[in-house]
Amino acid sequence: MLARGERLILGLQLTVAMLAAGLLVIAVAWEFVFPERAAVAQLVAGAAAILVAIPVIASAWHSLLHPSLHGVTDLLIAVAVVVLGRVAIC
Amino acid sequence: MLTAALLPIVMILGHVLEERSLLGSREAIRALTRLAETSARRKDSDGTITEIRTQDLVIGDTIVIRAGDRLPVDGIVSRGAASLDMASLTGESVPVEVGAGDNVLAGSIDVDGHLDVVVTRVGGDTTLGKIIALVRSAERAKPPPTRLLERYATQYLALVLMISAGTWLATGRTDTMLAVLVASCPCALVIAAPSAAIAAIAVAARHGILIKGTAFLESLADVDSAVFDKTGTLTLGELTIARIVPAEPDGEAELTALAAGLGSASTHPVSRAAARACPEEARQVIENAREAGGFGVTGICNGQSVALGRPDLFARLGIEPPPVPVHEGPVVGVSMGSRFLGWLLFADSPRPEAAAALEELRALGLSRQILLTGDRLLVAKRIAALLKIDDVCAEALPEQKMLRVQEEIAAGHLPLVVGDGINDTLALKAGAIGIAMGAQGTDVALASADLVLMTSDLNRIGTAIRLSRRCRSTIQINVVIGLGWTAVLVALAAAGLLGAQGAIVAALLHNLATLIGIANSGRLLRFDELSDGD
Repeated sequence: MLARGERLILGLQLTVAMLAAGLLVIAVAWEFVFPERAAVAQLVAGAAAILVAIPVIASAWHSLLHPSLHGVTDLLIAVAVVVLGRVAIC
Repeated sequence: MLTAALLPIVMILGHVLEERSLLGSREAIRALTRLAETSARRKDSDGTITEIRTQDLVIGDTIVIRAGDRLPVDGIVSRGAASLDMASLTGESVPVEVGAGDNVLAGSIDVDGHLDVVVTRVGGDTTLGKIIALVRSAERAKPPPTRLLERYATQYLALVLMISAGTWLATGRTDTMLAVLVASCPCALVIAAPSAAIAAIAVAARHGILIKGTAFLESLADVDSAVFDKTGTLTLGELTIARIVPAEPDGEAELTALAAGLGSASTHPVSRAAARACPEEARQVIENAREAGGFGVTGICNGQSVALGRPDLFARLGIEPPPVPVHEGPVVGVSMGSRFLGWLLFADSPRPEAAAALEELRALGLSRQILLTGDRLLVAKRIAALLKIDDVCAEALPEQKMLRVQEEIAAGHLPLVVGDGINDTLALKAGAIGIAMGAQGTDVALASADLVLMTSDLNRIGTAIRLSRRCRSTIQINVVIGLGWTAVLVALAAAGLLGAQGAIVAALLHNLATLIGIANSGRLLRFDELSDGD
């Protein structure tokens, strides 16, 4: 039985993910409609990446403090997101 | 940048989906909690009825239960009669008839009739409250495969990071390295055991089987011998007529009708057993019935003196009965006037389902079966013979029962111990698995056993074993799927076969494996004792 707090976090994560997905759709559509102004699309996609990176990094930090098997996934995804972010910036 | 945003989105959506799917199983457990969330109609001392919240009830309050109501607390019926549907608590589909003086449990539904119930237990002290606490603690428990995986979690993380670094050094490609990182996530393995355990707990609760801790998953599937208490476990724990010996060849009907009439005038266990020999309308009407100082009951029927009692009673009445039949158990005679009508021989009988249930256990591999009892050897042997049990340990004290179970373990067996939880506590704790029967209201049963059967139905033992074996095979399949899928995915990712968007492809495939595991566990929810064989 999920506790009230766990349900809240799950709902928040879902909201953030859907918001980021919306931003990604906007970014892709913008790049398609205005290919000459691709920087704006990159900016919107970057905002989406930062938005979803927050819960991922937070989960990884929690897993570092409270190690568990599920925490391994959080840590691996956080590493991947950090690497992806660095590649995108460079 | 697109991948940087898309990867977390896919993983978050996968996680949410995973939790939502598990909620399907958890919902079955939550249903138990909802049973306790009710209001009650309290009957005040002036007779007025007040609707109040269940948590405001106190012990000693009287509540009114009408047809269709759910009992909010445990109590004793003070007035009225009704049929109670206790399926939510016991898995028993047939309603139980209750009347004044009977104990009733929170969570039961009044099918028909009207009851006044005096509250005896409230909140977490009710049987339902204890069940909910039990199921909650069982849900938090980690099955053995999960504990094993958690022990090596740090090493696994280090291994994955090394493989990823090696892939990057070997290929020089960041996307391949990222694909390996994502492909290595052990979500399918993480969910393998808990998802099956939650489903099994929910199904077991539906069948009136309460599981405490992970003993159910670890040991019940492996038990290979069964140790039973006799009285109240294999037998009904109350006397019934084992044999009727009429003095005249066609005198049986007259004998039982008179015995039942006389028996209904007394509260002695033998008299009550005699009363049950006939339906109420077929019993003889007895006038001036009185107890004969511990010897039996006497009275007047159709103008003649009648008696039901021990052989000594008839000597006192000046009647010479035929020789007392040889029997291990209570024997009473019946007389009318100066005529001796015959003997009634009483015994504690096996439960109606006992023989079939023990046969099913033998078919499940529990061919070693032992009867443990504090009762006399001859009585124990009679019951053992009826139930085809070869090994009998009679006249045993609780410590001796425990030693017998320990001997069984020392001989290399994993014994299942079944008792009524009151005088078998030591033996229950000594066994590989202790099962307490009939937990309706007995605290000791809930405290001492690993498994608690809400009804005293021996068939549920076979059901529990079959369910535990199904649960174990489900976990094994999930672990194989999780391990195999992850290994293949890592290999494909490292070889660069997942493409430029390897991380996203790996995330999608990885979530798919998790959902397959959950779906496999979900199949356990369809388990039904009537249709699922092993």
